[in-house]
Amino acid sequence: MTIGADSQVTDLALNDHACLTFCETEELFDLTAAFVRDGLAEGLKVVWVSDAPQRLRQLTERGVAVEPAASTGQMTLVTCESALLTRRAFHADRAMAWLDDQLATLQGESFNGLRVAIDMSWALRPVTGIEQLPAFEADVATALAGSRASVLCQYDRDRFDPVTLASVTSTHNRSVAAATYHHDAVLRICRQYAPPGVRLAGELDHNAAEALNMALQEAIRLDGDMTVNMADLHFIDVASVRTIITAGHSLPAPRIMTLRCTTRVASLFIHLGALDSPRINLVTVHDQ
Amino acid sequence: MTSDLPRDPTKAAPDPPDSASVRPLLDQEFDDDALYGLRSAVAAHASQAGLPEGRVGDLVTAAHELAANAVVHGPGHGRLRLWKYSEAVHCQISDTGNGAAGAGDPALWGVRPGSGLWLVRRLVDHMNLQTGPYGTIATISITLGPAEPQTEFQIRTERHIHCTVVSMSGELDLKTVPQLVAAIDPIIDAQQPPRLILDLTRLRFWDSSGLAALIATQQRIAALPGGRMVLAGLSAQLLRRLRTVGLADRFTLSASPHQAVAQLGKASD
Repeated sequence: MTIGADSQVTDLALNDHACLTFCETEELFDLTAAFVRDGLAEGLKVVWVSDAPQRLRQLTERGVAVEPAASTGQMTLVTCESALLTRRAFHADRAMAWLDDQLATLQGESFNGLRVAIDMSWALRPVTGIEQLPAFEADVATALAGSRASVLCQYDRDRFDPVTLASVTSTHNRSVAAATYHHDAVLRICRQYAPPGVRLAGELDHNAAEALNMALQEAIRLDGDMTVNMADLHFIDVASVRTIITAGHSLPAPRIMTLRCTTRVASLFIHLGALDSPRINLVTVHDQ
Repeated sequence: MTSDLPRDPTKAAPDPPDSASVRPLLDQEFDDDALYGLRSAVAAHASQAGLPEGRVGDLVTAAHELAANAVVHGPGHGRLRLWKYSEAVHCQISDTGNGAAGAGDPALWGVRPGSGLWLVRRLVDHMNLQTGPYGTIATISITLGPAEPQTEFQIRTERHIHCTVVSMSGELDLKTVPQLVAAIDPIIDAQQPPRLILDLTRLRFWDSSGLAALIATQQRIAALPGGRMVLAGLSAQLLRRLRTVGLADRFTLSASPHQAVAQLGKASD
C-alpha cells in the first residue's frame, strides 16, 4: 500500500492534522527532529507523545536544542501511557480530554501556538479499545479547526496494516513522508531533514546511480552543511563511494559534507581518499 | 599480477584445484539483476569457510567489483566460483568477453587509483587477472587466519617526553578498530604537537578496516601543526603488504619503537 505524500514535514502549518508515515525508526527520529526544530524556531510549544527509547538523545544528536526548551516548558516529552492510555486500554474520549487540556493550557501561555507529534506505535501493542482509533482521529480534526495547534500522527508504514492506515488517513488534511528517491527491498534513498541531507539504507551499487545523484544534487542545492547518513547502509560499491566523495568535494567553502557511516563503510571512504578533501567530514557510528 | 592472454578461457582458467577433495563451495552464474544475491551468497559461504567478519566484507566488495566489471564493461554476465584450499578462500570471476578486441590494456588494469580493481588489490591477499579476446578471468584469494585468534587484540599507551607510544598486539580489524580510535583521541587532545609511534611489533594482521584506521590516524595527525606519526616494528609480512598496496611511502616507518622514539626525540630538539 502506498500513501500519496503531498507534503514535506517542513511544510506543516497551524491547524494541520497531518498523517506521517515512516519506514524505519531512524526516519521517525529524523522527521520528528525536523518537526520539533521548526516548531521551536517558530516559538511554538512542542509536545511529543512517544515511547521510543532515548528520545531526548536522539533529538539532541540531530541538532535540536531539546534541553533548553524543556527547561522553559516549551518542549515536553510525554509517554503514550500518560497521555493516551489507561492501563493498556484506549478510550477516545479520555485521549481527547488530554488533547483538550493541552489546548486549554495554551491559552494562559505566551507561546505562538502548539505542535503535537503522536507516535502511534502504541496501537500495535496489545491494547483494548483500538477500534476507537479512527473516531479519535476524526475528533482531533474537529478540535484543531480554529485552534492555534497542529497535530502530526506518526504511523509505521510497514507495521500498520493497510486497512487501519486507509481508515485513519482520510481524517487527516495532509499526508507527510520523507521525499524518497529510491525504495525497494534492498535499498532506500530518501531525504534527511534534521540535519539536512540524504539518508541511504540497505545495499547501494551502480544500479541506483541515478537516484543517488539526484538525491545528492537536491541536497547540495540547499544552503549550509549537509549530511549523508549511511548508518544503516550495509554495502556500498566503489562507484557510489566515488560519486559521494566527488559531490562532497564540489561543495563551495565553507560548506561541509558530513558522512555518517559504520567502520566498514568508513574504511572504504578512507581508502578512496575521502579524507583528502577539506570539505568532507567522516564520522564513524557504532556498528549494529 | 599476471596478464597473459588466455587462448581459450575454458582451458586457460586457473581452475579450482583439480582434485575430488576440493569442490567449489559456490558456483553461480550472474548478471546485473543477480548481484545482490551473489553478494549474500559470497558472504554466507566465506563466513562458513572461516573468514572473520572484516575479511568477509573485503571479499564481498572485491567479488562485487569484479562481477560488476563483467556486467558493466564485459558481456553483461559471468560466472563466480568460490572454494577453500590450502588455508585460503579463493574466488574466481570469469566472463566470456564482449566480442570487442579485448578489454583494454591489461597492464593498466588496477593501476588507475580509485578504480574498482585498484581497490580490489587493497582488499585481497592475492589477485590474478587474465584478460583477452575470450574474456576475463580474475582470481582473488584471502588467507584464513588461525581458527581462534592466538591472542586477543590488546592496546597499550606509554607516554614519553616527546612522544606517545601506542603498542598493539593481535589483529587490527573491523572489530578492533574502534579500540584504536578510542586510544588515539585522548593523545591528540593532550599532546601538542601530537607525536605518535604506533608499535606494531606484535601486530599479526590487519584487514582493510584496520589499514584504513592507520591511514586515517596518519591523516589526522599530519593535519595538525607539527604532528608526526611513525609506524614501528612492522613484520616482514605486513611490510610486504604495505608495499604491495602502494602505501609504504605514505607512512614514516621505523625498524623498532626504540629507534622511532630516538627519531622523534631528535626531531623535537
